Amino acid sequence: MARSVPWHRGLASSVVLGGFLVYLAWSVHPEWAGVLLALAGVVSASLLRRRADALSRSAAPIPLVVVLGIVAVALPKTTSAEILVGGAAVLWLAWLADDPRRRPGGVARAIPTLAIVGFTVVVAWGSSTLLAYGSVSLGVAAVLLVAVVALVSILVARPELIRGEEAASS
Amino acid sequence: MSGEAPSFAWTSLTFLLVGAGAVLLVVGVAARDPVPLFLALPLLVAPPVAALTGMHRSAEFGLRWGAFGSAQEVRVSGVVTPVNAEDAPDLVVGFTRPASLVESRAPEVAWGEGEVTFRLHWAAPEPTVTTVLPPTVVWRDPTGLAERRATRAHDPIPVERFPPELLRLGGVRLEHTLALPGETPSHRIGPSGEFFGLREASPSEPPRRINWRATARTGRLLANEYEADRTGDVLVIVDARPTPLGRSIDERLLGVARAAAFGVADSFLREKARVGYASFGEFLDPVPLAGGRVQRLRIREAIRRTELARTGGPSERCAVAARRFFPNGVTTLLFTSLAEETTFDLVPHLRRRGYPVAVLSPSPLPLLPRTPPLDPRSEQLVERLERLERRSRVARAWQDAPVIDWQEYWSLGSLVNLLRHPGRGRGV
Repeated sequence: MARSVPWHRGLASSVVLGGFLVYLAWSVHPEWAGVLLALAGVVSASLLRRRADALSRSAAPIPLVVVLGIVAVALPKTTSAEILVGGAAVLWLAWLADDPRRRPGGVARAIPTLAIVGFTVVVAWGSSTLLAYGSVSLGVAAVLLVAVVALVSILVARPELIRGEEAASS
Repeated sequence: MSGEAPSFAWTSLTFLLVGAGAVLLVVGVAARDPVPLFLALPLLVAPPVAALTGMHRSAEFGLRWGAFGSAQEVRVSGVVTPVNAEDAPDLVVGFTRPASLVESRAPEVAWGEGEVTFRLHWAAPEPTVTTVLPPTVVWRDPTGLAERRATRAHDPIPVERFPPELLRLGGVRLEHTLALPGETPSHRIGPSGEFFGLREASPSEPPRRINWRATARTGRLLANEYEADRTGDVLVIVDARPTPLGRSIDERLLGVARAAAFGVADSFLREKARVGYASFGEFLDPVPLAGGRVQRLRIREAIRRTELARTGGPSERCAVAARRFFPNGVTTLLFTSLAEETTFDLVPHLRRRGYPVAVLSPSPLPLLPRTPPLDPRSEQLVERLERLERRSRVARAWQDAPVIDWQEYWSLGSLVNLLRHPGRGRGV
């Protein structure tokens, strides 16, 4: 007999992610099949992660990965599609953080991780959009991206490194 | 104490993310489509970011916990206090329930300021002696991608549930097997032993117990009280050999027998008796006669490691080996299910070597499954036949020693009666 979960736990993130996926699916093909696919993915994932057994809970993210993958392959090759798909992935990470079986407020606690991942997506999208195409610029962008992500992660993990010296008490 | 497990680990979710990210990367490159690449990027970046942002976190914790309740109820509650209070919201606490306990209500876990409290509601359907392992505590990144495990180990807590009548068992007078018995006083006040004090005499007080000098001094009837000597020695033997009933039922019967054996040993040790314990599977695993708290721990450990043997040893081996560790004449309680022909031989072998035996036989009838389901009339017939067969087995064993047919696992009044009044016939 496992702990029962209040029905409203984790609902907000499911609604936001579901809405975003429905929007993406509708923008690919304005037909109900894509919308139904997105809704089925979100609903099944949300139901699975509320189940008592650990196996079902660990399988809960799979339907969403599948739906995201299908949508990403089906989307047209536009710069807006790139950033939208990246945003959907960040939203999916936020959905993971809003686990109904853990202490509420998971999304707030995951903000450092989500912000760095989102920042990475934005930097990558910006460099691919703004830089002229070429192997040299691609390499430079990749190295810069990795370095910046590592640096920001370490700074977030060790806030004392960026804290200034304490004012001396007179 | 410190564990050997590494403190950092990826969760299965990370492997899902990395796998999905790799597939999307391949699809994006193969199709020369940047959109799947932008989906793959967050999936591949998130795990290392989660690990880096959580690298100063820790799952090391302090634990205050205990097992409470009585009879069948087992409540385990406690407080997990992480070393760093800010890590408490992301601590994930897991529990391992012993096989002999069942869950009666869902566990309650609550995150407070700098601590996690938990309350587990279990029940013991049958008497049991078991241990509850400390909860597993991990600090898990809020997205669930990386985790840090605690490396400091905590001690398990014992859970002992046995029939309450066994607490009265310590008053039974046992045979001494020492040359100079009575050197160790018990906590009991009794009719004989060392002088303890005076008390008001009751109307039915025997004249020998009246202290006439004190009575003359005070002008009212006063009686002597004595600190009873140690009651004697008892040997508890648990038959851990397999029977045709099958491993599952054998293990449950053995669990019941272990709990009763612990209750008996505990009760006599409280009264300063010397208690020995032995389990017999393929070979005898003995704890020689001794008294005191350390002996209680020794017996508890021996009972915990008593498991159903894969192969049963011959009964004579048990009796021969017992002779090496225990003096003859010691009152012997044998716990056996009497479900196998060889278990009947054990009693005569023990008696032949000078051990006065009483048998406590946990009955397998309450545990027998009913498959396939029968109509009520056939069910009654089957139950009656099983009862008759059981009765014939118990009667056969009675030819060698008194036998308690133990069917109500939460009651052992019949054993107490048999030991208090050995000459009064069957304690069934």
